[in-house]
Amino acid sequence: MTEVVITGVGVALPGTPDPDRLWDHVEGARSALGPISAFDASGYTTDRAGVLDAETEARTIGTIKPRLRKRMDRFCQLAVAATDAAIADAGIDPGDDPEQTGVAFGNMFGGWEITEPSLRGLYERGYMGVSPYIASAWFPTAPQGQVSIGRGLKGFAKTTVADTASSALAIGYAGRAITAGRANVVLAGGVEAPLTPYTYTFCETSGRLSPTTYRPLDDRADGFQVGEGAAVLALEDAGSAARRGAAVHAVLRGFALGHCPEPDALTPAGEQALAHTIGAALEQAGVAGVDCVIADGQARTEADKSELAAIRSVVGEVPVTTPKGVTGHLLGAASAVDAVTAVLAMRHGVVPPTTGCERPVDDLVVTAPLHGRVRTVLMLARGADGTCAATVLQSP
Amino acid sequence: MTATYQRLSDVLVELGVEPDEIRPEANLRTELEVDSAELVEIVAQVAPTTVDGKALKSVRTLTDLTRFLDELS
Repeated sequence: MTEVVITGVGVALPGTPDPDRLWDHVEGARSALGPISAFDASGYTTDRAGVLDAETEARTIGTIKPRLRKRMDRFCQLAVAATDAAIADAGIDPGDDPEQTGVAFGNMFGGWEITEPSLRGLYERGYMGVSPYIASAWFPTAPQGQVSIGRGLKGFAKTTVADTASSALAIGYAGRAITAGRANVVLAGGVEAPLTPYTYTFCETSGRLSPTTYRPLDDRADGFQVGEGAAVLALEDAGSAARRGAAVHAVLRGFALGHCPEPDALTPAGEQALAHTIGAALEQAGVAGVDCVIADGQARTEADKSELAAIRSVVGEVPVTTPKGVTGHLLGAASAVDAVTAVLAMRHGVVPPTTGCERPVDDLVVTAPLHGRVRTVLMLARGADGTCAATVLQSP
Repeated sequence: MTATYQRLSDVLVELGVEPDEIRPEANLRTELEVDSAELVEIVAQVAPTTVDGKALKSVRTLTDLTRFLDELS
């Protein structure tokens, strides 16, 4: 069977213009959460989120030519910047084989930075108040389109929308596309830009925002704070990577997808579906155990306890962590951040601490850096729609 | 050079078009890389009144656009 490897990673995240900076924050358990400045968020449950700082913005989306950037919503800009970084890290030229180079992004909300003021303009000034760029701005597949157009890609292209599991599906499906011979390279990951008044309203009404702070896997957990950003992997056919002498960051060993009824999602009733999904991913990977688990970490006691119970039931005693407290929950892009973190944990030989967690709900949860060989990592993602995803990465 | 042409030139420069590329006979799409969406953005900044987007389809050059806008006023 075709082996799928990761040959490049790229990020544009709060406090984080590159993977090295992400690792500094994650290993040091430094949260990049801060006040929302893009609009008045004082009437919402929380006015704090993971926002790109000025330096990160300048080094990522700030490098896009203004005449191109204005055509794109913020979530497209983030996707383009992170994808370009992944391409550079992989050392590939997508133009060499555009038919065999694809793109797969997970996203939850689409992008509304251009559209919201346009709708206001429509009602106040008529159709001349609508941005001419609205048609290609807002829908979840827009980043996939902008990356494909910008890089001339003509291969496999998908956008997955499955609540907070969206980018786990993007990465998993990208791997399957390579395995099936539908692409040699797929630029796969996730992007989210939830910090507009309209989008943030849906974060609010979902009831998932924390009025205090994001404490994943902590017994005081009361929800999460969201973050904006993008994380992208260059997934590649192992043979193709070997032929060009590419450095391999990790191997995608297993991916499994499950589902429970929506009312059971993120509750003990959904535990069995998650456990079954974990088992299927491990079986595909051909491994009995892993060195650490990067958890979904919804930061609701019931959700976190049921996730840890599922992990324990299938994998046993294993260190569990999540980087989401650093960046805020990136919603549809969260699993892609987890994947980059997994690559970095393998590289550094450290299971990083769970930022924001001081009183773990279970003694599996890591609260200080755990040094040692990290060869196999299991990543979990769940959506409020009932989606469960499990992904196994292994060091090369 | 009309006031409209000068205003269009200023808007094009603000958009990032190189000033030495801006000539009356310059083709908007092939030389200045202005597509239909950007043309609407330009017109929205310069036009004295609401514009029927379909009427813009006949515009090819900067001179065409200048004439189109002058006829609106």
